[in-house]
Amino acid sequence: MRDGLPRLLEGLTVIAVGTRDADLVPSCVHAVGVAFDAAGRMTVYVPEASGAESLANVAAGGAVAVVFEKPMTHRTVQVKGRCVALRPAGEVDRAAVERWAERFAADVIAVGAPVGPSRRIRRWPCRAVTLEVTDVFEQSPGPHAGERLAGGVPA
Amino acid sequence: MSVPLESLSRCFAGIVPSTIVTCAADGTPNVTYLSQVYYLDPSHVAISCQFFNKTAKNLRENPRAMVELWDPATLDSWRLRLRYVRSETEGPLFDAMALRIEAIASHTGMAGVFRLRSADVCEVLSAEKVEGFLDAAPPGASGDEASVADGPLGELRALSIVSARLNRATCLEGLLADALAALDELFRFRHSMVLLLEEKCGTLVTIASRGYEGSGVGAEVPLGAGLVGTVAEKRAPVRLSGVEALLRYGRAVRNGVERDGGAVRPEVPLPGLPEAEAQMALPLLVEDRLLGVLAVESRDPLAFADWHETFLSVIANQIAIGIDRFASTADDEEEPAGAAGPAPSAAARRSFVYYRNDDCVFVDGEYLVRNVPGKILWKLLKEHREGRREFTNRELRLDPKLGLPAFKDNLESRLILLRKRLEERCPEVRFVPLRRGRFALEVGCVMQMEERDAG
Repeated sequence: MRDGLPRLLEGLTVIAVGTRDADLVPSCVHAVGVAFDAAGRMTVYVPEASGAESLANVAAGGAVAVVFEKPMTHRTVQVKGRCVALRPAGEVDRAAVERWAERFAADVIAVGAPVGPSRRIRRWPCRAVTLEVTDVFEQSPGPHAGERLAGGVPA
Repeated sequence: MSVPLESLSRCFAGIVPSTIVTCAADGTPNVTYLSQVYYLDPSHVAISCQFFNKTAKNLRENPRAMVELWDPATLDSWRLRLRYVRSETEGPLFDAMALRIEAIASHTGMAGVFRLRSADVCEVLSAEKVEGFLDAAPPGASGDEASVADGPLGELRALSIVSARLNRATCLEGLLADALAALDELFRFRHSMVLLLEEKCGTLVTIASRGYEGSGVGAEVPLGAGLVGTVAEKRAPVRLSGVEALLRYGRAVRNGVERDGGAVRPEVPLPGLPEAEAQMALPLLVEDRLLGVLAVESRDPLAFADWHETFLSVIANQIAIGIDRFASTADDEEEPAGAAGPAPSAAARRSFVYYRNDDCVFVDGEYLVRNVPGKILWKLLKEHREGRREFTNRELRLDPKLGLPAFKDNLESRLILLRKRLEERCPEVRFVPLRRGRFALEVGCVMQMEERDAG
């Protein structure tokens, strides 16, 4: 069902993660990369320094929303799911995170973000949050925002 | 530690999209980007609701939200913990937020398609910097961090100088030139223009400009089109920061509408400055009459702050009063001498064509001027051909064929437009002021004149 997700999210480099606590109080953090495994599960990387509250929410509850955007075009997709694994990111994840950092910096600098800070987003140490994806939504601004997508094709 | 919201003004400029997380009653979080979070007062912000209403729906079920803002100059990140209070669909807050969106919608050819549905007001429970979001800058690497200058000191003194200059102006052209020069010299508004309303045609016509490669005088903007046209139509100021980012947002919406086969109009070209990143336009109003628009632009996305809008609105009022003062000035009562001037040079030949259907004048196949200025020019050229050289404003006012209104006819602004267009497109034909209300028409070429019914 989610085979098309990596392709759908290709090039969407600004990633934000939404969670909530037991009292349904929401929390936000920017993620520093995304990867997919052979089973089609999605992993997002959340920095420990800026994401302590969100990571605690994930550990306690598991419901997660992640939004992906390309700043130049505002093409945006939101993925919802449940955390099935949470672990410290290590060497096996380094390539995905560093590749994201390069692409992120290039994309935000292209739309006018300051060069130095764009390359200084703190990435390490970070946690790998693996999700079982339950829903994918079109989120680009416009009349289609909120429409459910399946495998990259409007449902 | 919570910081005052006022200290985050750059984050509210809408240059970098903000993120909002809400949560449905069933515990499902929702995260999305917002084009702008609107600063309302020290303890409230407003969120614009345009298309997607999952955020709005969640806020009504569960009023808690978190917004993450980025400072466009430093990329520092800030988190606001919010509690939803109410939605507004009318009133001053809604109008101010809607106007900004309408300006972008109009610019990207989507007037009426892309609009504000509600302004969702939230109480800010805390505003905290996201610690550890960025790594520390390496020593000596400060050159790439944007420096952000606040307004110049002594604004009141500068305002007083502008006011005095405007009061001393003895003609409309001088008033506008002085006003734009003062904005440049005292307030660092390097690129500015004044457009006046041509009521009959529903257009705004550029009458004066400063800081552009070409003067742009005579360039027209329809009411309701783009930033300037929207400001004129709604009679309220708009300030846009990070124009390119806003246009990207508008184009993203446009793509969605086009995908549905929706009708969108062509994008309105930005007036004036290529790659303008900040724009501000203010209506020129006297009583309830719209006279025109004052517009300023900059390539710096953070060039215009709140105080600029406030100060510029005072200056716009003064300019409007000045324009109104010159809209119907007493003329020299003497009859024109009608003396013959110097014989035209045989060296240059210019071909003038007048189109009766829209009073449009072309010179050597290129558009020169239209409407009332077109009629005035044609009258003057025809009479010049008969031997007349000097003319008075009074006779133009009294000529029923020109159709000038009896009151506040704006003749002077039309003559300025005509004279500047001639300077740029046909310098052989010149208006030479003789004294108040009287001028000579000098023609340094052989004129070929033709009238046609339609272009």
